[in-house]
Amino acid sequence: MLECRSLSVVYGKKISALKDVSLKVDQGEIVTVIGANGSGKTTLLKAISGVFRLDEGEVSFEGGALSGVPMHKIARLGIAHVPEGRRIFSRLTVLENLELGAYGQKKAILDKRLEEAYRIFPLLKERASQLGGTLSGGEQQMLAIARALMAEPKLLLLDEPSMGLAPVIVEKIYSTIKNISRQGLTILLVEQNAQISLSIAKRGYVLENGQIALSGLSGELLNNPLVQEAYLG
Amino acid sequence: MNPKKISLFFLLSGFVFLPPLFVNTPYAYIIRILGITGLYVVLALGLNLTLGLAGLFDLGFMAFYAIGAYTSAILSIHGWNFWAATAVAVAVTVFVRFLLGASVLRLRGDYLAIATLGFGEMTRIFFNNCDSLTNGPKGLPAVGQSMGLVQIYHFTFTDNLHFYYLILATAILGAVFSMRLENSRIGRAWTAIREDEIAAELTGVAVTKFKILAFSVSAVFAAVAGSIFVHWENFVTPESFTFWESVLVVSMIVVGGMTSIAGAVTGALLISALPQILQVVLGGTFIHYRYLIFGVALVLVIIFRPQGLVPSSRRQLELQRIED
Repeated sequence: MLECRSLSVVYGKKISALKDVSLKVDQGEIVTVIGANGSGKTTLLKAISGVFRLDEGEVSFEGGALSGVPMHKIARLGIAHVPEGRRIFSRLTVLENLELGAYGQKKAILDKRLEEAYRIFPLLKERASQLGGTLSGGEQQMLAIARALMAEPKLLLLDEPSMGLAPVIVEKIYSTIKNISRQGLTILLVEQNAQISLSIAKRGYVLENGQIALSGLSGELLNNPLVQEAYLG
Repeated sequence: MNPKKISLFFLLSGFVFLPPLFVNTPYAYIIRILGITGLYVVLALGLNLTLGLAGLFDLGFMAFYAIGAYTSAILSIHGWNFWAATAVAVAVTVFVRFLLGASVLRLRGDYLAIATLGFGEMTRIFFNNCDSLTNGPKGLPAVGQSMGLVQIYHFTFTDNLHFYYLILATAILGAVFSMRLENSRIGRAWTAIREDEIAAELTGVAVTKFKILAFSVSAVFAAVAGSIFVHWENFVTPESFTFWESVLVVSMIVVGGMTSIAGAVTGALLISALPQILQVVLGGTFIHYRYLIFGVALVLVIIFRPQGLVPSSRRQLELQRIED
């Protein structure tokens, strides 16, 4: 479904953030990319969703190349990016946040998707008229995911959904992600918390200094002594 | 009808029915002041689209008032009728603003403010020096030239009162248009851009396109106001379009309440009309203190009513939550 072929992103002509990264995500899979701070995880997602221009390599989505396609068009092709730090519209209400997720859709479709989003996150319905910024961290993360789902994407890019959240909340969010994936949504999940992301993903890649150091099935990675030492402690 | 609608109804009736009562009285100047204020209302509504709704900080809005005014004046002198001249003035102004927008809208915040400020000054200096086209500081129409009249069918606008009604109608139209825009898909996109550009783009809003749109649409307001202004005044010089005027329009929006349409109208009424009325009431020396009092008033509003005098429901919600 998504294929990245030898992606390279260089910041300011000097700092190489991604070097020759190739990966593949198939229909219906959860694939995770793990790595330490500064290993290039966020850059990878931003390169896919078009926030950054690629210096080399190519991203193709459902067989079509994404190079040169502007960000908002990539979003409409069916790639929904839940950015790092959530970036919800903190001064808009929860409902308005969700409505923006389905930007450009007709009222009937919007209502249908809203209902679906509320089914997955019942809490958001209670908070519909509250400003986004007044939600707790976990609720904001749910809102960010729900907003992305409003676009009815084919591929969901998740950037560290566990960031800054209590372990109980993280577990809750991960079980929701798992449920969403069961309904057939393909997910590319970037995470620092290797343990939990490998527990729901089918396959994983380990990113180190902008390069892919390891890849394999989640079970293999979990048992790999290198991964255990570096990321699982 | 709710109380808000009733008060709006009375307010509008007041603006429609009261001014004729001043004709041929010592207070006839009030009609003129109201007319000028009306032009500021139209300008403030226009700037509210860029500054208020889309959050693009524009300090050179007067440049477009000037471009609209000059285009209309030049055409009028060459025999065009008011309506056609206004239409072309709108087209030219929107086009220039579109070009400016396409080149400077990649800048944000302070940088955009500086770029638009620069453009505002450039425009004024251009009109001041381009003698062959604008007659420089001597203004248009030059000696021996004259402006066309404003007519509907066989009715000719001559008195201040006639122009007052033209301006009132324009302001009402502008306010209704703004409200419709704000509640449309376009208004929603502008709000999203104002709040978080990257998040807006990631949800599928074409950020650059909508920013340029906000920029261009606001030029329509400036051009129409400019065209009415020159036809009423029958004279235009670059003097009318200083940086200070741009700052005044920004202040109207801040004092009235950012993004709020009622706020833009209130701000324009207060900042433009009040000093002039007070000047008459308090005597001529008051004009010397106008800016001092103005500055103090701005500071007071920001301290005690940061959301503006008539805040939009959104801002109000926001500040309440923070206080809670």
